[in-house]
Amino acid sequence: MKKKLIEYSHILLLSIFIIGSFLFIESNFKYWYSFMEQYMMFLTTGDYFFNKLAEPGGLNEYLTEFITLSFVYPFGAALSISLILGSICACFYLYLKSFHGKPSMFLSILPAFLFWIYPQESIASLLCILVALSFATIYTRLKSNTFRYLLGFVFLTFTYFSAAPANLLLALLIGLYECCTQKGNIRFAVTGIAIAYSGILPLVAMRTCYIIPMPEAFLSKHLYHPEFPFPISLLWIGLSFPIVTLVAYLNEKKPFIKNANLKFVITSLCLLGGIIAGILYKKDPLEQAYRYDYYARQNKWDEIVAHAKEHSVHDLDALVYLNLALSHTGEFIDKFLQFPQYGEAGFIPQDPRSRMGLIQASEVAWQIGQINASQRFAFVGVLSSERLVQPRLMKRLVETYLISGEYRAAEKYIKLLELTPHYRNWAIQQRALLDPEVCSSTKWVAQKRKFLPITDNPFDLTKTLPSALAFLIDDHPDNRPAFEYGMGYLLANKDLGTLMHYMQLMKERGESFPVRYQEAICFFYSAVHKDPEAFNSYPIAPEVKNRYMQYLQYAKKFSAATLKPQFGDTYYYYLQFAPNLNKQ
Amino acid sequence: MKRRNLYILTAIFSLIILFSFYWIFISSPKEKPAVISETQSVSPAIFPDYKDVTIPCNIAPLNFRIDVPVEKCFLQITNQHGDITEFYGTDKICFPEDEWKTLLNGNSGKSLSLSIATKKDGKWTQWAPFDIHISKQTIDSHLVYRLIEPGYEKWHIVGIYQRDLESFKETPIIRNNMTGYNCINCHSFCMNDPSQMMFHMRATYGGTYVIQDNEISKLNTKTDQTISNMTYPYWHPSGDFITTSLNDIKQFFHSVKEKKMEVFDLESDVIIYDVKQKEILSKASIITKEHFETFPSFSPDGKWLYFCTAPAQSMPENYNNIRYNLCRIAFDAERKEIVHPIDTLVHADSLSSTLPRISPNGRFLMYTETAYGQFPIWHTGAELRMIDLDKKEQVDMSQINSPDTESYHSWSSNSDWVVFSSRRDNGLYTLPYICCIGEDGKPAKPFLLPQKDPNLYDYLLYSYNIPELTKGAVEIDPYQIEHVAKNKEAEQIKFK
Repeated sequence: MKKKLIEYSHILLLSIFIIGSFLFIESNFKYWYSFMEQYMMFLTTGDYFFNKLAEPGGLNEYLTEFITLSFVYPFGAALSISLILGSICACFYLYLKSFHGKPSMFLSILPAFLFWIYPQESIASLLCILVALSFATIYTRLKSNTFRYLLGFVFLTFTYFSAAPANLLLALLIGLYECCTQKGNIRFAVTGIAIAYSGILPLVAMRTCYIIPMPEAFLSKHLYHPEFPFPISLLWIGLSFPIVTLVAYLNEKKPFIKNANLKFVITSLCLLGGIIAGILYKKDPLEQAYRYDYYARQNKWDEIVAHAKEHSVHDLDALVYLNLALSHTGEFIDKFLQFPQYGEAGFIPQDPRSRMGLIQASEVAWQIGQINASQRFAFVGVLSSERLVQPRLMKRLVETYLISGEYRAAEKYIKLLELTPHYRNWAIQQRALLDPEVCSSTKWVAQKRKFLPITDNPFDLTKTLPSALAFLIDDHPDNRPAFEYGMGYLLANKDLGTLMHYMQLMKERGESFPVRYQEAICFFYSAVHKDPEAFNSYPIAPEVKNRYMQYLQYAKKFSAATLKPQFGDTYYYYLQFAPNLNKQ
Repeated sequence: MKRRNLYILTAIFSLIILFSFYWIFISSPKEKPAVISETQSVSPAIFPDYKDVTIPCNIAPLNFRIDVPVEKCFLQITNQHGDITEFYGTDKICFPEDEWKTLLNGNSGKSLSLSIATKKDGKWTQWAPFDIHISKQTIDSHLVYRLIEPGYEKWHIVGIYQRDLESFKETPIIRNNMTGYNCINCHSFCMNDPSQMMFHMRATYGGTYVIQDNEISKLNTKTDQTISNMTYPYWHPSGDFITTSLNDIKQFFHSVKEKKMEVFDLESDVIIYDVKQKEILSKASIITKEHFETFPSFSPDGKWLYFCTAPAQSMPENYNNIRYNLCRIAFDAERKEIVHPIDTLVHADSLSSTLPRISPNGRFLMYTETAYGQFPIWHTGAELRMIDLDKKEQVDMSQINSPDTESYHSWSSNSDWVVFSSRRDNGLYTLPYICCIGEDGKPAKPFLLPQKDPNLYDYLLYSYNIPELTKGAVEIDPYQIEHVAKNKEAEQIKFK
C-alpha cells in the first residue's frame, strides 16, 4: 500500500493541487472571475473565428473566450481554471520527465502556484502557458533529430500565430531540452536558432502580416489591458518554467532529499501547507465589491442588503451597490444610515473611469431615471473595455435605446447579443420590443418612460449629484428612487434646511412620511426652527414624537456612547454625533 | 508502424476539420430555381440599399444581404444588350472581384438590371428587378477615414485608415495603439493628394503632423498669440498653406431623451499657416473676440478663404442660440494676406451653416446646415446643402439627405463624387455614403461604402469619421509615423 502510494504520488499530488485550486478560486476569487467574464463576448459566427485567427495569439484568445463562458455557471470559473492549472502541471511534469525518468511533481506544480499569487484578468495567459508546454512536451518525445528540429520550427511558428507569446516560452523550453539532454555542439546551435527565430518572428510578422505596435507583436494584445503597463507578474510566471526546469535538472544531478518516503512526506506537507495558506490568506481585497456586482447583475438586491447587514461594508464600491440595493428594495431612507456613509461618493462613483465605476454609474442613473446618463456610462464602459465589448452594458444600451425610442440603435446591439450563447435568449425577447406599440405597452418600458426627464440640464450625476437630482425630482416628484437618493443626500449631509423644502412638498402631496423624515422634522422644529404650529402640520407618529422627547431628556445627561444603544438608529442621533461627511 | 498510423490518422482528422470549416463557413452551394412558386411585384429588401443607385465604374463589388427570410438566392444581372450574368448566394450575394470588374468595365455609362429569386422552405420566389446605374466617371481610388467609437468623452482604439475603393483592402495609416492610445484626429489632404497630408495627435506624443513627400514634420502649433492648437484644417491648393480654426472646444451632455450631447466653442478663430516657413500668418488670420470663426476652407483656385462665423456669445448658456453665417474673404497667396471685405454667402437667419467645401472644379459649394452651432454630428436635423456658385442658387439636395444626421463631406478630385457621413442606418454610428453629383449639380441616390461582408456594418462598433477621398494610396509607413511620434520633439511654430 505504502509502495503504491509512493509510486502514484505524482498523481496524488496533482489531484490535491487541482482540488486545492478549485477551493482557492471558489472561496476567494469566484466573484472576480465572474466580473471579468462580462468583459468578453464569444460570438458564434465564422467571421468572428476568422477575425480572431487574423491576430497574433488569436486562436488562444478564441479558446479563452469560449472557456470563459463557463464562468457564469456555479463553480464554472473554479472548475475551468483548476483543470487548466492541473493540465499545466501535468504537461510540465511530462516535459521534465524527458530530462530524466522521475521528475518531482511538487516542482512541476510550483510555477502554477504563481497563478494563485497573481490572479490574472483572463485565462489567456494560462492557456498560452499550456500551449507552450504541450508543444514542448511533444517536441521532447520526438527521437529523430532532423524531424524534431523541423517540427520545432513548425511549432514555434504555429504557437506564435495561435498563442503568442507562447512561442517565446516554447523556444526557451526547447533550448533547455536540447542543452540538457542532447550531445554535441549542434544542440547549442539549435538552442540559439530556436530563441533567435522566436524573437525575430514577431518582427517579421510586423512587416509582413500585421501593422501593430511591437509589444502587441511580441505579447499579443490579449494577455493584459494594452492601455495599462505590462504586468511584471506575467514575466515571472513565464520565466518560472525554465527556472524550475533548471532547478529540477540540477536537483536530479544532486538530489536534495534522497529518501523517496521522506521526499513524498515533505512535498505533500509543503503542498498542503501552501494550499491551506493560499485559501486562508490570499483573499481578494475587493471581494465584497465584486460579490455585490455579481448580485446586482443577477438582480439579487436582497442578498446585497443581507450580506451588508452581516458584514457591514468595507469599501466605496460596495457602499454604492449597497445604497443601490436599498433603493431597489424600497428600504433606502429607513436603512441607509445604518451603514457607514461617505457622501456623494457612496451614492454614485465620482467621475467614473474604472470598469466597476462605469457599471455602477450606469446602474444608479438607470435606477433614478436619468436614462441618458445611464446610456452614456454604459457606452463608455463598453468602449473603454479591453476588447471593446461588455455584454451586460450592451444589454443596458438596448434597454436605454428602447426607452428613448431609438429602435434602430437598439437593434444594432440586439443583433450582436443574439450571436452570443449567454445573451441570445434575452436578445431575442427584446427583439419583440422593436415594435413601437409593443414597446410602449411593455410594463418596465412604460415605467421608465414615465419618469424621463422633462427639463434639460447639463448636470452630470457623477460630478454634481445634488443639482442633477434636484432637476429629476422637480420634473417627477413621484420618481421615488430619485427622490430618495436626493433626500438621502440631504439627510447624510445634515442639510435640514433644503430637506424641509421637500418635506413641505411631500406634505402638500399628502404622502406618508417614513420614520427618518419624521425624526428629521422633529429635530428641525425643536432645534433649528422652533415653530410648533408648522411642526403639528406634519403627520408625526406619536411613538416617533415620544421617542424624540425621551431623547431630548436623555441627551442633556448622557454621553453619545450611553445614548447609542437606545437611540443609535435614529436620525437625530446621527445628526448630533456622527461626524460630518466631509470630515470623515 | 504504430506511429506512422498515428500520423496518418492525425492528417485525416485535420483534413476533416478543415473541410468542415470550409463547408460551414465558406462554401455556398449553387442552385438555380427550376420552378418559381411565387412572384413578387416588388424587389426584396436588401442591405445596403443599392437599388437604383449610381456608382462609379471603378468601385468594389456591391455585395449585399437580402433582408427577407431566405435559405438560398439566385441573382441574374442583365445589361442593356440583354447579356446575362448569374450569381448565387445564401442570404448574401458576394460578387467575385474579377467578374464584377468585367461587369462594370463592359457597362460603363449604362444600367444593369438585377433580378433576384429566393428560396425558402423549398419554394422559389421571383422578385421584381431593380437597376444599378454605372457612371462613366471614376471615383478617386482611395477613401481615408478615422474609425472611432461614437462615444462621448472616452476613446480606446482610434485609427486613420485607408480603403482601396476598387477592392476591399483596408490598411491603417496610423492607429493609436502604436502611439500610446492617444487621440488622433482631423486628417486632411491637399487637393486629394495622398502625398500631402496632415493630422493631429492629442495627449501623448501630441502635435500636428504634416506629411509632404514622405517627410513628416511634427509641430507644436500653440503659440502665445493664439488660443489653441490648430483644430479643423484645410489645405491651400498650392500645398504651401494650411488654413485652420483654433477652437476652445467644450462639451456637455443633455438629460432629455431628444438630445445626447453638445459640442461648442468658448472661443474660436481662423488662421492661415505657412507650411514652408512654419509660421502662422497674422495678416492672413481672422482673430477677433467679437466673433467665433471656424471650419475654414480654400477655394480650388486658392484665391478665397471660406469660413463660418457667428457673433460671440456667452457659452454654454447660448449653445442653442448661436448660428453661424457662411462667409468668404479674398486671400492673396503672394503677399500672404487676406483682403477685406468679408462676403456673406449664407446668412444665419434661422439655421446655422458649417463645413463649407467647394468642388475642385469650383462650381459647387457644399455645406452642412443645422439648427444651431457648428458641430452637427449629434443633431439629427443636420442636412447637406449645396450652392451652385455659377448660378448662385441652391441645388435641390432632397435625394442626398435623410431624416438622420448628415455631416462631414468631401469631394472627389474630378468633382463628380462626394463622400459624406450619415447616421441614416441606425441613428448612432456614422457611415460613409458615396453620391454622384451630376453635371447640373443634381445628386443621385447615394450608396453605402461596399464591404466584402455586407454584415460588417451590423457588427462594427466604430463610426467612420472625416471620410476624405484621395487620388491614390497614402504611402507613408505607419511605423515611420510611430517613430516620429515617439522620437521627435514637436517643433514650435511661429506667429508672424
